[in-house]
Amino acid sequence: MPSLTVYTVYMKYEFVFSQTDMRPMYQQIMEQITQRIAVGDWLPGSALPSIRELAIDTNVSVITVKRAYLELEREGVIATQQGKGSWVSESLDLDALQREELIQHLQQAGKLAKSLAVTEAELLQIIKKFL
Amino acid sequence: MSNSIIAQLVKKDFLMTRNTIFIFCLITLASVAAIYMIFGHVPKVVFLNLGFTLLIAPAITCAIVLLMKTIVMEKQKSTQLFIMSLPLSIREFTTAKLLLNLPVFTIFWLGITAVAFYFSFGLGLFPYGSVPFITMIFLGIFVAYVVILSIAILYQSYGVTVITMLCAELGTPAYLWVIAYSEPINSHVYESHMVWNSPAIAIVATQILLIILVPLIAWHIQNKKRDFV
Amino acid sequence: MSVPDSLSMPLAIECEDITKHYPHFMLRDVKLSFEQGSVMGLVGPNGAGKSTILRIVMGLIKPDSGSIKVLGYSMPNEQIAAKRNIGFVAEDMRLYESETIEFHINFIKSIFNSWDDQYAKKLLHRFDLKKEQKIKGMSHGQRIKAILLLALARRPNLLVFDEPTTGLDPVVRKEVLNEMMNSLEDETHSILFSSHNTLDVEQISDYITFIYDGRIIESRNKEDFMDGWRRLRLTNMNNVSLPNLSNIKEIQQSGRLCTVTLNNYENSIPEHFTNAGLQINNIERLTLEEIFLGNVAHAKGAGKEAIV
Repeated sequence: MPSLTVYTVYMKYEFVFSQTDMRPMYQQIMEQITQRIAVGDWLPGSALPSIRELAIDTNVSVITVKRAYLELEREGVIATQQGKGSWVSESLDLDALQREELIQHLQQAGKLAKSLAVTEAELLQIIKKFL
Repeated sequence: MSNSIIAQLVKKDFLMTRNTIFIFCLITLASVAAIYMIFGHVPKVVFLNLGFTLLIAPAITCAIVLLMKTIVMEKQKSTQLFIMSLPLSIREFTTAKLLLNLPVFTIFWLGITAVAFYFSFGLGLFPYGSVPFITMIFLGIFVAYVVILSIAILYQSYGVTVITMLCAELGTPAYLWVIAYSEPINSHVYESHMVWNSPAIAIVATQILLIILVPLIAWHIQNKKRDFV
Repeated sequence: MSVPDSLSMPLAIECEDITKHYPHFMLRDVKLSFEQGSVMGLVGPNGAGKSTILRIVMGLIKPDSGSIKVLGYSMPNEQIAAKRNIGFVAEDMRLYESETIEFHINFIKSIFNSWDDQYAKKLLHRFDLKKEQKIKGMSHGQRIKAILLLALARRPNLLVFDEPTTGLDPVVRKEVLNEMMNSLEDETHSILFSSHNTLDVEQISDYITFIYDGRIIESRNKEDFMDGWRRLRLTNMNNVSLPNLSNIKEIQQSGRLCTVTLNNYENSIPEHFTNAGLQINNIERLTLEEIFLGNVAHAKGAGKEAIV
């Protein structure tokens, strides 16, 4: 039986994906990268793994990682230069990033509420409890 | 470049069959020893029949087992797909099979033919007039072998190979008996000196030609195949 | 010596109008290509022609018409040179039962200069195999892993895998997928594989080709492929007929509820439905498995049905 320790040795970046997450993979990668930046594990100015390196590490196709990087560049989260690779944007507003994360969470909450037929009033009441 | 892959293929097949070959060598030696021991102790007719069977059975069996293992089984057990994925074409594959099977059989054949000639003429079982006919018998064995080998290469099927074996085993003695009773051969068999008349030479020449051409033709036809699965 | 740029490198596979006739099956107009450094996944039902295409790629079958180049080598004429750089694994491939893994390693080593002993040792460890094991005593999963090891440890430029994970348990499957990805170390390494595990194909492929009944139905880069399909959940209160769009692949009706699966999705499409008087409840993306089923349903003609 292969031991679990063998796995952690070669999964450097330890991105964890959920099979039940119906969002496209490139968005999940974007989220994992953004989260690391938001909590400060990946600092502004620090280099990102190359697209190929991350693809191999996460077992996700190069084209998907490339798309994630392109989208993140478009959003200003990372910067890329031909031949030099990509790095976390220097002038990154961590605050704005974290706000973006909050908005994502609320979007999910809203979707869930809708599918559970929870009314707007009910939802606001629940949120108030946590503030 | 392609020569070395043929060498690797032959080496691989040899490594897998060397135990079998070794065992049959031992059996052949035991047979020869047995023949030597019964010589002079049994009636001539018994000696000839028993001796002949003891002599050729191990050699033929070894040859058949070898070609079944290296040629027919390769296809039946799907290991051929593994081999064909290597940097070689059907030509190298076929050549390697021939380069393993033919030399091994030839060595056995030379051995048993030498023993047969020794007992026939060295120990005086037959007069020299029988030399052409005994030659035809042993060449006949070789011809039967190359036919079976070639069919095995072309069809790689147990069924077809076994049927060919049966035909060869029945057909070879059949044509040899016909030759034995034909006038040009029959008239000289019991003479004390060799007579190589034109029919005798023609028959032997045909056998040698078949031994060379049949595998060559099979090799050529096999190389023309374009679909390997 | 200048570094070759991707324009001057030959494509991993370049297949034009391949046709092959069999008594009960025909492969026609197969056109397949992708550049080196990428992964192409072949998907399709059994008997659709995936194995045939892969064997044509390997030079083991000669097509009746069309041309095929693998790593720049014309097949099957230049198959010897090509196969030096290709690692082939097929589900019906077998090793020699009476021999050990070590026997096979030595055999392969004697043929290929590119054999990497260190990597082979790593793979033996990762795949939980022992050199001294005889093939005869091994389980199906172990045999496949052994064959994969023999292909991977040579570090060939192209891996051609026919159902590499079929019949394997999830743990082994993940190991295999991991090593397949590990082989893509740079732009000179590519993979062409067929699989029924649509999750695997969806995850690691750069390109997806869908085959049905001997024909290529779709062949595109994975992101566009997956982006192009949607499922619309609709309510048809007034029993109106659905808009006759050419990209509808499948329709399922149950009373007033309707589900439409379509391809080549554009943001303007929902309008067609709302304009026709239907209410859109949800727009969902599909997994590759669902796309597979949608394609097959459509191909079988079960797609467009008149609404009664």
